[in-house]
Amino acid sequence: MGLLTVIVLWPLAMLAIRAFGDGGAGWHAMLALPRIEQTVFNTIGLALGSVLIAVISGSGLAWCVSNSSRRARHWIGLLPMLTLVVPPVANVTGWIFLLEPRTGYLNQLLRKLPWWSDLLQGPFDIYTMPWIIILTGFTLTGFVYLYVRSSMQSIGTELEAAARVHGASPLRTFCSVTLPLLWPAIIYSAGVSFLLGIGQFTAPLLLGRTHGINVLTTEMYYATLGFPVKYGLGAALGAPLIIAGIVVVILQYFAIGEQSRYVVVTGKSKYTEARGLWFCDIFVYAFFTFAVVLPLTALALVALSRFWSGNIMWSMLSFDNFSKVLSAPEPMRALRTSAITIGSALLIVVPLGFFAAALMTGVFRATPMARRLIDFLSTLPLGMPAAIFGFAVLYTYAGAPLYLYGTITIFIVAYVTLMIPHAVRPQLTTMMSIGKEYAEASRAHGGGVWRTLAIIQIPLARNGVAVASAMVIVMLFHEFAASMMVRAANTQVIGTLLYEYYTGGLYPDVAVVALLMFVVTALGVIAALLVGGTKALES
Amino acid sequence: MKIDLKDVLLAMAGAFLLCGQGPATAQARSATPEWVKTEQAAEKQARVLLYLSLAGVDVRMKEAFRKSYPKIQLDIIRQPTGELISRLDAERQASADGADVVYHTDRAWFDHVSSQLVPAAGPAASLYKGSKNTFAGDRFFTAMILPLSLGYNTEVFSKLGVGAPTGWESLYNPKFSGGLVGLPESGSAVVTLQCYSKIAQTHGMELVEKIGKLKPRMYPGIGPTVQAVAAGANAVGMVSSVSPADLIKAGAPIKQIVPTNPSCYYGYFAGQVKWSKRPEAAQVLMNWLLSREGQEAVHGWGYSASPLEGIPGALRIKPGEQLMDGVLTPAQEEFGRRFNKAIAG
Repeated sequence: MGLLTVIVLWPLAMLAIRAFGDGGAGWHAMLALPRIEQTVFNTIGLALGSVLIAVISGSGLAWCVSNSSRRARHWIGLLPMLTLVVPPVANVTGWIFLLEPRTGYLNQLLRKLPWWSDLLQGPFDIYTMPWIIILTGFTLTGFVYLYVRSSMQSIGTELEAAARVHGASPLRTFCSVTLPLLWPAIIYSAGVSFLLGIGQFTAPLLLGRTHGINVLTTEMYYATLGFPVKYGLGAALGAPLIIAGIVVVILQYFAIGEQSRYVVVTGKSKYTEARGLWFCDIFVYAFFTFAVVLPLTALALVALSRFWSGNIMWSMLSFDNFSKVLSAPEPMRALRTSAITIGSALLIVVPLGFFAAALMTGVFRATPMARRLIDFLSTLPLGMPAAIFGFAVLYTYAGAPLYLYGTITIFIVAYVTLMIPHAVRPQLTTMMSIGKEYAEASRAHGGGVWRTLAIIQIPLARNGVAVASAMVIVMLFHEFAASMMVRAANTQVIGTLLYEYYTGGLYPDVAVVALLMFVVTALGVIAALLVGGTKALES
Repeated sequence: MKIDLKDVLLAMAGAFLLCGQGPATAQARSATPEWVKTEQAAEKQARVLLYLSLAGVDVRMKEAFRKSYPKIQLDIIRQPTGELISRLDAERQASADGADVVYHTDRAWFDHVSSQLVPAAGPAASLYKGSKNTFAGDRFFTAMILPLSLGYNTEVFSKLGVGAPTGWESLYNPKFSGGLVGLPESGSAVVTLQCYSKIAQTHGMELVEKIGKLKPRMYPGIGPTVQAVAAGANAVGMVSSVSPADLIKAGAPIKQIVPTNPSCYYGYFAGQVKWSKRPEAAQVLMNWLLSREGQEAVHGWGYSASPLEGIPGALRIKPGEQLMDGVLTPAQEEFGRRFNKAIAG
């Protein structure tokens, strides 16, 4: 518990103290920022808009997968999950190549339509607030889908079928049966999406700068670019996001209320609708095309080109950029740093999560107060944007007394902090399903704490360990916001290297690095599937 | 008024030096016993790390340095000046293992940390003695001179029926409305803001306001700006003379002119940091960068100028041309606020 407190609370406390230090100089600096009202408005607009898109499309996808055609039903559910494999930074880069107003591949295709044929540019401009919201919304859709789909599977389709048998129309069935039962999952996922949306960093940074569109997290990042770093300003900018996190968690609690209202009394769900709905398949395929196929295709085209251009010179496409980037030392060094930092974080956070879960489930003795505190500490990072933790870790550990700036240790510290909830929850769920009876039986027969752990708890909880490991690996390969805050010029992970290429290199190289990120993440997912079984990704 | 780079090369051949330093008098690698020991120690360190804020020259530098010092691996970290200096500041405070030698445009940073820089110890420093290109007792030097230029996409210009640009005023054309002008952010490098300020002084704030009404696209540095111009996303943009070189070589439809109304020449400064973990290797790299050999390797392709006289192939500059120094005056800071308001709205 002490370790959790140090890891999670210490940087946030330091940040809070800094925000109010120097007579509130950080707050004064924040209020003096040009167009700070617009920045706050953008931040709220981005969060609300992206949540709306994510909840509608994520819930719609989950419903469509449940009602897909029989032929596709066994595998179509994987498609929305594959959107989570494309790192957001690669996804946004791909969309720049698609919807850049003049040269974007998709914009050029759309201008061939009769009603847009007179346009010289557009019809869409990727560098605008609506597109920042749309792309963020689609990034978050995968999370909402996972929560709602999981809830749908546990509910089953018997109740819907019963409503239909008794004459309810599909719409009435959806409104009076499906939606109320899914309410907790929707509210919870909307809350998580709101927190992710309010802390979004990737799309605003890559798309917003062109027209001066800022959100609080990008302003925090710019605070780290000053000379010297404006920690007070960054801390003040982060404070509203911390407050928002706490408010959303409280609102979620009241919105869901008494959990027992949503308990479904049914056997293990086996009934499935015999016929699927054809438009459900189309909706899932369309989403997959939009979220995965199109940006990856654009990245591949640019990666194969000699330079980024709206005109694709098919005869000139080659793999030269791949061999150039892959033979350069920087990407390999960044990949190695990613592997070392993620591997180290994994080795720390998964056992930490295991012990936290063991304390919460009573495998190890702890007072009720201690259990509640561990629960709170292990959930807290979920409510805070990664950019905040990155900034807080930079402020706390970069200088005296630890002097971690420029080391890979500062990445590991940030990653461990961010991943605590993802390491604790799957293991906690597994341990709760196992119960503590086996451990008690072992103790009753003379097994010590460690022997019980080694021969009972760890083998039984290995599925939870595998799921936690898979989640940590995939999410850390995606991680961008905190990495951008703690990186040094000489210490980069693959995501931050992509940004460095974006600001100073050739765009075909950027595309190659983005594809490299996708491939590495996909390999991580495949490894997770091999270790944890086909259910690992879903879990 | 415009000058093409090739014209500059041909017409100005044999012109005077920018700052009037004397001819080269020593070979960079002339070997005193002390220097031989330094080189041997550097080879044992086997690696040296350069922080560079200029895109497009890193490959040339690495290849040429490898030929001179095959036992020392030169690694280059390349980031925009603004991002680089904040990271350097954090490194300095944490004594982190990072840069050995620094190469960027922010003169104010070099002035601020000059006590944290190491005086150049190699023989090449003598080439700069008594010139205006050595600062703070040989702690940092002007290592490169570049003009900011106007890059334009020939295909887009042709489609729009617009003639080749003639000067900074060509950034404004009603046909460029809707984001066809690309500019590096004023905060991306101090010299960019200084150039905007010079343009406003020459053409009046009205030109900036008119360009602002075209809704130009702002980029985090010259690198993304030149990419967008080459792709045709922008018709024209402010770039630096080196930045389009790789794209031109790759066949991109981009050309550039160096405006003289006003000209915006700026220096890249180089210095060795005291907190370097490989001090001898840093000395060797610093000496190589300052030497005629290093200067020829970096500037010999004709896109940049050397502070030394008579570097074969280097871009040559009109005598008496003033460099922007990268140190903002209060008036320029105030201009920056007005510029951002005019451009961002």
